Amino acid sequence: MKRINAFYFIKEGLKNTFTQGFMGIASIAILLSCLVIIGIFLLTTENIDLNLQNIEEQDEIVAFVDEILTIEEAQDLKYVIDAVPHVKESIFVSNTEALHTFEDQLEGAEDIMAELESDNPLRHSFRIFVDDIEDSTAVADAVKMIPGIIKVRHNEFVTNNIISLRNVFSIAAFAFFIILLALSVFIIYNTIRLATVARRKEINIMKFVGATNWFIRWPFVIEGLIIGLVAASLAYFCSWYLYTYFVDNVFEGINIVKLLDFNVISGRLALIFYGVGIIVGVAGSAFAMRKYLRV
Amino acid sequence: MVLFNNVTKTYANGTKALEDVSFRIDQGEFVFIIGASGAGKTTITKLITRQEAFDSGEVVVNKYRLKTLRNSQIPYLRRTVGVVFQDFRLIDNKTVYENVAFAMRIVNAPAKEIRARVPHVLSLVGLTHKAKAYPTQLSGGEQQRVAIARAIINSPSILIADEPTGNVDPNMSREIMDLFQAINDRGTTIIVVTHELSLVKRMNKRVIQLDGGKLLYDKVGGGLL
Repeated sequence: MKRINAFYFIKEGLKNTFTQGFMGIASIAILLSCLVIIGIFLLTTENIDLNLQNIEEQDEIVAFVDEILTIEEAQDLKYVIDAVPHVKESIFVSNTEALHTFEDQLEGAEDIMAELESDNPLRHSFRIFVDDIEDSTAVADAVKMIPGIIKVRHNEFVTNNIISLRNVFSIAAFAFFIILLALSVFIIYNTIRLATVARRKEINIMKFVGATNWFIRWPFVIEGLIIGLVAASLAYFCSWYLYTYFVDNVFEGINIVKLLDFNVISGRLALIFYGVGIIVGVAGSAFAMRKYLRV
Repeated sequence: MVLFNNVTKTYANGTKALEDVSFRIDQGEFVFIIGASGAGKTTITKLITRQEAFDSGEVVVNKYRLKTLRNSQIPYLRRTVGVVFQDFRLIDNKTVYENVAFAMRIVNAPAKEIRARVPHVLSLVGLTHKAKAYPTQLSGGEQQRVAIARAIINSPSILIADEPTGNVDPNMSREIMDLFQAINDRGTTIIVVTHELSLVKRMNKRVIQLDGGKLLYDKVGGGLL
């Protein structure tokens, strides 16, 4: 692109965006709406994912050690457990520690505790955490086979439900995102096409005077770029305002739900907004006018 | 230079617009193309500007052989051929000056050259005083003169006018023909497609007459009309 033309294209692109009245505003408003919906959806999915992760992190396998093993022999089992594939971490809990935990839960039952301390019936155990919740059943089965482990406690029902929920949610989230994206491309394409129809006479004249296709296309592409940038900036501001409003006013005091700070996701959100905005704006413009270049 | 050699053109709907048409127009000529509606006049202009492709034969416009012309070369062919339409085709939200300057921007002319050339061409078509007016503020004749100024601003070697006097009054028609003559006197080839036989007779130039897509007559003067 020559320098003289670059200035002309930018000037024309700016002029077209802001002087064509309703069409320019309509394009920005429609893209803005789509981006805000995508933004709200992403913020919601990120927060649901965060809360699912918290539930996942609480999922643990408890392996009980045979009481015939000494405490040293029991502790040595940690090396065997840690070597099981997908084990992230294992924590040894001696029967004394287990009794103290039990004691904390039985406040006011000093008599029973005194009796239990003299003859501790609890076993040494390991709390085992896995890399991914989907591997927890396989890990529990493998740990069960280790000599010296006599029992494994693992809540398979809860685990399976979390896995199902997460998988269903991931697929639904991805599908919804694609549908929204396709919908916004379709709407923007048609809005820009309407704007292009209004200027087909100008395009036609340019073709007859000897303009190359790219000379005609550039101002429209720049117009699409401006529409994309403006819509993305407004969408980012709207998402920030709506999200912080909900976090501060609607979810305030509800501790059961963990919410992401906007700053944690702001970079990714901006990237998606500007990426989608620019691609949809530029591609929409370029495709919408293709028909009128065939003169 | 325009060369048609045994050119045949059939549209997608089966209409045979041109059948085995041959003629040659040399640089600097002034030619009228006449004929009834559907005779194939406009098809000739569409082939010269490569809006349409032809079925068989050969078309050469200036240095371009249109049969083998790549799409990327079409804009460069069109820069050598100025076109004037019956409906003027001006951009309503641009002033007279901008409508003309716009054609120079497309060929990447420097701003300094545009500032010097546009007033010169506007004075040639007698519209210096209307430079800041918008097309909707002009009469039909004035709009056609803006279209002519735009068509010649890049000094094309050929100027094609398709029914240029169709939307203007008889006095203005004569003025437009005189303007074409002045442009022709500077060496530009002029091809005028028209059905106004009185103008053709008055100008006494070479006439190519078509009938049903076939060449009927090609001679200087309007004697046989």
